[in-house]
Amino acid sequence: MRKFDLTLLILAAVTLTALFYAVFLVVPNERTMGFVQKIFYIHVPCAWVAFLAFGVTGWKGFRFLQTRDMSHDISASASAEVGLVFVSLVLITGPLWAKPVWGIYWTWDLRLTTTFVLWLLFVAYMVLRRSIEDPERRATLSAVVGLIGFLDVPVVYLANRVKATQHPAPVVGGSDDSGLATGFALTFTLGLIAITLVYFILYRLRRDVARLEVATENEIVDRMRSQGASS
Amino acid sequence: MSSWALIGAVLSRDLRAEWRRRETVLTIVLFALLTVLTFVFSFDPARHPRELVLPGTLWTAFFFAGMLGLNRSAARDQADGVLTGIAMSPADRGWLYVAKIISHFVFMAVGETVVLLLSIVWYDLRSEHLTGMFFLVLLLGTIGFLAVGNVFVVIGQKSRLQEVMLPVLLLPVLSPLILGLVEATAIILASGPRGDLISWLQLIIAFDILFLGVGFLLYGQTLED
Amino acid sequence: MTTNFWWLFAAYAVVWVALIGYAGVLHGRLRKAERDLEILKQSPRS
Repeated sequence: MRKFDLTLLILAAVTLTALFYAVFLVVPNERTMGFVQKIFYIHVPCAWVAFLAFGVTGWKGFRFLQTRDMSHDISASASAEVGLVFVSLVLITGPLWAKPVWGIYWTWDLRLTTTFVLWLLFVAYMVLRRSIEDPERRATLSAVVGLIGFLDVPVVYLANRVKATQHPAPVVGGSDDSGLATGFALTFTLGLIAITLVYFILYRLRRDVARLEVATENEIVDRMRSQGASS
Repeated sequence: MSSWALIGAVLSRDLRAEWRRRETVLTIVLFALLTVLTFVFSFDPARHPRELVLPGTLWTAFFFAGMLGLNRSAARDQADGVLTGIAMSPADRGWLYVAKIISHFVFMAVGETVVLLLSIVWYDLRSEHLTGMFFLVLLLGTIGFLAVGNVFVVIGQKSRLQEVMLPVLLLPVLSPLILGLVEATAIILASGPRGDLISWLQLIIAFDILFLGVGFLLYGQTLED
Repeated sequence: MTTNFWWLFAAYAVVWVALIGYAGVLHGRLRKAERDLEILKQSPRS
């Protein structure tokens, strides 16, 4: 394993251990929501990371359209797959938090709606990629979709915020960022760092897999071509 | 070829072809009607207030019919070999995009008119509802739909899933626009206080400008083969 | 408050099983891809 990846792995292990210690042994139970609130320390970082992942996908797609360098496309798709995992986790842990605290699994509030649309965008991107055979065409078309999707996310957020201001409703997942006491904020930051590190590790891993698979493909094609030429 | 000439050429070609066969317009009108009919059965207009049901009904009908229309005409273009036929520089492809939006706007306008006429009968839509603001929202919404739709329909046709791909790509991206349009239309139809309308209009206009610009720049990428 | 423990446990479990499981799957694919490429490169170009 390369030194950089090993360093990332060690850092992640350390921060995750520290996180668990902080979450379960140090930070007190939140006043209104109690014990279940502790999910917040990985739920919210997963959401932030999902948005980060989509940003990477959009950016790498843009770089591909600029340079036509396939390595950007490989990065874009790797980030999309990992991002899909994280956004799915957000959508699973969210209801698991909401039900015991608020009595309902789901509501179409600002954050949940935006996250759900993000999930749909990830899925659309992946479905598109799976349905185009030619690598060059797949890279180009998914870059366009990734870019448009990425630009759409802030619009989705804004639209739902206008809706929230005009039709005020109880905010599910409540006051997780209002008046965060030091203990909470520190633990939250720890969680953010830990989950981001995990994302990077998974992203690099996924990218390496893709690169090797592409290299194997190219090797096969290469050999078939030289075989054809010599016969 | 100047950009105006190009737009004019593509536009006249598309409109004349459509006048001959009328496939796209027929698809849009038919499907929009059927969608409204489904909503009539789903939400009895006698028991559900117009302001609640009609905005969602209208925009769902327009957008679903619009997607079928886009798919139909893009498939037709593919079959006729139209998009590859025109030799174009990369810069010109943006103008092709503009022409496509205009021609489809015409097709959708026909469908929307028919639906509105029917809504006058089925939902007791009155002249006091059909204000300038109402038509402005209609215009902006259709443009926003076509701005993204025209890019995605070409992409969809080039995938294995073809027609199925368009809704999968389009509906998530369009969701903020749909939200804004339905809310704005509801405010207009309720003929109550208009204060909130400005925010929604700003959102819709911002959406249109953003995605018209992005579509103009990226459309050429979808055509390359 | 302790009755909510199982919800919390479930949530954390889902997250870690998913992430570690995914990492494991990727790791397996990486090993396989490395092996395949090695085998391919070793074999003679007939």
